[in-house]
Order: sequence, then C-alpha cells, then structure tokens
Amino acid sequence: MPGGLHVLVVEDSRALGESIRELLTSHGHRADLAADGRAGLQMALAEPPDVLVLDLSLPGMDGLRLCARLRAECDRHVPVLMLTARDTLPDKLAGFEAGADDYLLKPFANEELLARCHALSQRHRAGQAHLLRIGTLVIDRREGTVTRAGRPLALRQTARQLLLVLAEAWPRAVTRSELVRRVWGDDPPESDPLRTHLYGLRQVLDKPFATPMLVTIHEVGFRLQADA
Amino acid sequence: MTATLRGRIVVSFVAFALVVAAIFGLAGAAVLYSAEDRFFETLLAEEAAALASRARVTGAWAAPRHDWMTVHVTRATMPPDLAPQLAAAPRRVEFTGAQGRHYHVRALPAPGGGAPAAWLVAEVSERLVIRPLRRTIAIRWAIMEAAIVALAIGLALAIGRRVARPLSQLAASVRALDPALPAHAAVLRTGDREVRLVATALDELRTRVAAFVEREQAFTRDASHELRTPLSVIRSSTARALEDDTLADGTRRTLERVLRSAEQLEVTIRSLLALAREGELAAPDTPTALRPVIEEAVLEQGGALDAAALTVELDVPRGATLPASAAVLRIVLANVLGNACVHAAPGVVHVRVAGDGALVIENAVSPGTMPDVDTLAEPGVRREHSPGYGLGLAIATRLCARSGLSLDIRTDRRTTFAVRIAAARRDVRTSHAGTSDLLTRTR
Repeated sequence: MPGGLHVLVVEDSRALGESIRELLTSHGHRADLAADGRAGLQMALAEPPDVLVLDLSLPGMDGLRLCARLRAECDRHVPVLMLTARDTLPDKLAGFEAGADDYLLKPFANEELLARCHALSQRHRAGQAHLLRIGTLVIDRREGTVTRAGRPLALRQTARQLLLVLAEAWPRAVTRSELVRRVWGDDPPESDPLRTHLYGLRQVLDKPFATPMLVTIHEVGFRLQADA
Repeated sequence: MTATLRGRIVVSFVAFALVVAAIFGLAGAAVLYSAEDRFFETLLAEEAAALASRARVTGAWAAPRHDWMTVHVTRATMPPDLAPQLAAAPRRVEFTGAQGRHYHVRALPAPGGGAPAAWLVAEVSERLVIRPLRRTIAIRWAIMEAAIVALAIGLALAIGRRVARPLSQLAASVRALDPALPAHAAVLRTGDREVRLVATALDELRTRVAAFVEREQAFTRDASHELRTPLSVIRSSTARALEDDTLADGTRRTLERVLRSAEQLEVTIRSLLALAREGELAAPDTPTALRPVIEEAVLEQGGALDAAALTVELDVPRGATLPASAAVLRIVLANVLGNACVHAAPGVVHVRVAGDGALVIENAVSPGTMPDVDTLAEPGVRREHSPGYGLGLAIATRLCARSGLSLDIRTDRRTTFAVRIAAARRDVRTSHAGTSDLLTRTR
C-alpha cells in the first residue's frame, strides 16, 4: 500500500488492539494504541492521526462520545472508522450521527480493514480523492482514464463502469447481481449482460499483462486482485 | 353493529325498552277493560237489587229501568247467540255475541235460594267505552313506545360512548404499544374503574416488556461485543499468520482449520443474535430476490467451500423471491451452506428453485453417513464426526419458523441430502422424499 499512514487504534481489548497494530505495522503504517476513551481522545487531539480506528464499547468515555468530542474540538477532520460489534441499524446510524466516516463490523477481514483505512485517508487528501489505486492499476474518476503499470487502457464505457465498481469494492468481491444492479440499475437487459462486457474488460485489463487482475468466483461474482 | 360493545349496549337497551313498553301496554289495556266490566257489573247489581225488591212486593219480575237490560226466566227467551254459551258456562258473566253484540249477565236469585229464578241480561255493545277507542289508544301507545325506544337508543348511545371511549383509546394504545412510550395516562385519568384497572394492568405489562426489551438489547449488545471481539483477534491473527510463506504444511492446515472454525462461529453468533432480536425477523413489505442473497452467501462461504472441495451450481431465476428479509435469508443460507461444507461429499452443491417457488439446496453425502433427518433439526443433535455443536440446522429451522418460512430436510436415505426453504404453510417438517422428487430439477 503506498505511503505509510499514521493510525490511532482506540480499542479496550488489548489482544485485538495489538493484533490490529501488528497488522498495520506489518503493512508499513505507524499505529498507536489507546485502551480507553479518554486516552484515545487526548492522543487524537494531541497528534491528529490520518485515520482513527475506534471501538464503541470503551471504558472512561464510549466511542460515540469520543467521536462527537473529536468533531467538536479538533481543528481538522480526522477520518474515523468505527470498528465495533454493534451490528444493528440504529447502532450504525448513531455512529454516523456522532461523526463516523465509515463503519466496520467485528470480526473483519484484514484486507478490508487496511483498504478502508487507506480509502478514508485518501478521501480527505486534497487532489487525491478521485484516484483509485490497486497495485499498478490507477483509475482517475475525474478524468475517466485508466492505466495499468503506467500504460493507458482503452476501455469501452460499460467495461469502465464495471471496473470502477470492482475497484471501489476492492478487496471485497462483488456478486454478479450487485454488478448488474450497479451498472444497469433495476432494469437490466434480458440476456446475461455481464458475459460480453467482462470479456471486453479482460481483453484490455488482463490480456496484455502477465498477471490477471480480474478474478472470477465461480457462478457468483468477481473481484480484483492487486498485481503488486 | 352487535360486534361492538356500543352496538351491544344499544341493542340491549332497545330490547329492554320494547319489552317494558309491551308489558305496560298490556297491563294498561287489562286495567281499562277491568274498569269497564266493573262499571257494567255495578249497574247490573244495582238493577238486580231493585228488581228483587219489587219482586218481593209484586211477586213477579218487573221490566228493568234501562231499555238495554232484559229479564229472562228461561234461557229460551234469551238472544240465540247468548243462550247456548250461558248453558255451557252457567257461572260466566260476560259473553261475546254475534255481529258485535256483547252481553253481561247476572243471575237473579229465587227468594228461597237455590237455582237462579231469572237472569238479568244487559246487551252493552252500544255502551262500551274502550272498544271504539282501541285504535286511538293503540296509536297513542305506539307513539309513546317509539318515544321510549328513541330515549333508550339515545341513552344507550351516550352510555355506550362513555363506556367505549376509554376502551377504544386503550385499544388504540395497545395497538400502537411501544415500550418506549409513556403510560396510558389519558385513559387512566378519564376511564371508569374497570377500564382503569385494565389500563393499569397493561401499563404494568408495558413496563415489564420495556424492561425485558432493555435487558434483551443490553444482553445482545454485550454478547455481540464479548463474542465478536475475541473472534476478531482469532480471525485477524490467523489470517496474518497464514500470510507467512514459510509455514510448514501441517501448520498451515491447522491455521486454515482455525480460520474456517472462526468463520463458522461468526455465522452462529450472527444467527443467535438474530433469533434473540425481535425486529430482524420481521418480513419485509416486498419479497426478497433470491439470486443476490445466494450469491452473497456463496461468496461469504467461499473459503470453506474451497476447503471442502465443493463448487456451487446455481439454477435460480433472476425473478425468484421468498417472503422473508434478506438478513434472515443470508443467515439461513450461511448455516445451510456451512453445514454442507462440513458434511457434504466433495463435488457439487446444487442451489435451485423448485416449481412451487421453494429454494432447494442439495448435495451428496458419502455412503453410510446419511443422518437421521427426524432429529437433525433438533438443537444439540450432532452428526458423527461433526465439529459443531449440532446447532446450525436447528437455528436455521427456528429462524425460518419465526420469519414466515418453512425449512424441510429431505433425503433419499442413501446419498442425496436436500434442504428446502419455502414460504411457510405450517410448522417445520422433516420427511423422506422419493429420489425422483429430489433429483428432478425444475425451473
């Protein structure tokens, strides 16, 4: 992942906090750990991180209050990823209302935590928000251009839309139904619309290169695989 | 109208008013007729006394003073419509004759006593007071009756409204019962004692339910946190350990098993929490499309399916639906597919929609390992070599039952095992089906 991030992890479970810190440092990031809400707020205000990974059930001050205080007191926008076991819709809405930028449920996939931290840090970096990078693949959403290993890829419009959906979901896989819905809406063509367009995408994205990026998951979906 | 409390009150009041008015009307008529009879009897008694007094002087019955009275010493001289009736009932004093005639009769005793010496007969049809007024009396009586009924209806409506209003408010409050809302204060203030008692009892119930819901929410929140946090550690740490390319094969297989078990445990926790929560099981307004949910479930179980050497073949039309929430279907499918990952023989898991719209998940099991389907959906029943706790299918079955679905387990008793999920018609069943039924693929 390009560029090391400074991530503050506020998590009362020492084991999980250490596990996340090790995960982040093993991928080139700097991670600080706070075991309670008050300490987490102090650390976030003293040295605002690139991303704050925040548990909700915390001693001292719960995650929702911490997030609200951070929004009120910090002089810049610190991206907050709520990492919690609270999985009901009211819990999620309360999280966003308190100022969360993203919400990830425990247990989580390591790749997803890393990808979300990266996406959150990019979202608030001026001039970078429109760029999506997966390995050597770069998608410029503003310009509508796609390059891989520095070579521009000439994609038809539908193929580019499909690639964008897969890239925005990366590292998560996307089901066939979700791809169809995102590209064609609720009124897709009668025949299998994915077959032709994914063939076209493969011809441009994968065929000229040694490592294929578009991975098929038999019968159910597709995902992108980073090539570097 | 009688289906409502107010309707029953109105009907009862009207019926009571009609019965009372009828009784009083009949009693009034009886009094009128009695008074009229008594009047004629008094006149006859006075005339009889006068005739007897004169007969004692003259030795013969004189003519009565009133021309509508006659004295008869034998029945033969009596009017022909009276004589036979008097012969048949010598003690009667009042007779109805032909052509509107009406008679009152009084026996004139012989001076020495014994049988009557003569009869004083009065034909009173021209002097009756009540008979000509019967129509007028009936009309007035009907008017009074109608007025009483109208009064009764008005009274009944007023009472019914007064009684039913707090009950209606109570019913509306109960219908919209939300444990978070305050008590039925308005009803408690204005209702009658009985209604207040019901409202109080309901408020106590509401308070208990609110406390229960609060405990349930606190419990599921705590359980979710306490279970998912260590599970996150297991999953995250194991996944990171597996990134090490230098791992020995045995260690890698062990870590992969830990990861699969953690994923299985995650499905179980999600299922149990869904079962414990009221709202998650509510059926949506529109049925859920199956294809996207199945694809998500297969993706989620991808690692476990690969590890079990299983591939999934889908035969699910894009428009196929079931009347349950996507969340419930996801959990049920995760359980069923997770179960297949543990127990199915390597090969293919067929996921298809049957002709009646049911979703069928079908896989092969190795010969000799077919479970007893009669007990398979019971909690705690484990199959031989199962690493789980025998909860998966039981949880899926209960989730289906509470979400308006039915879950059937069908086998051919040899090697084909199928789970059938359909819109519920009755409670969960397990059955053995014929092989042809199981193996017929229907679009």
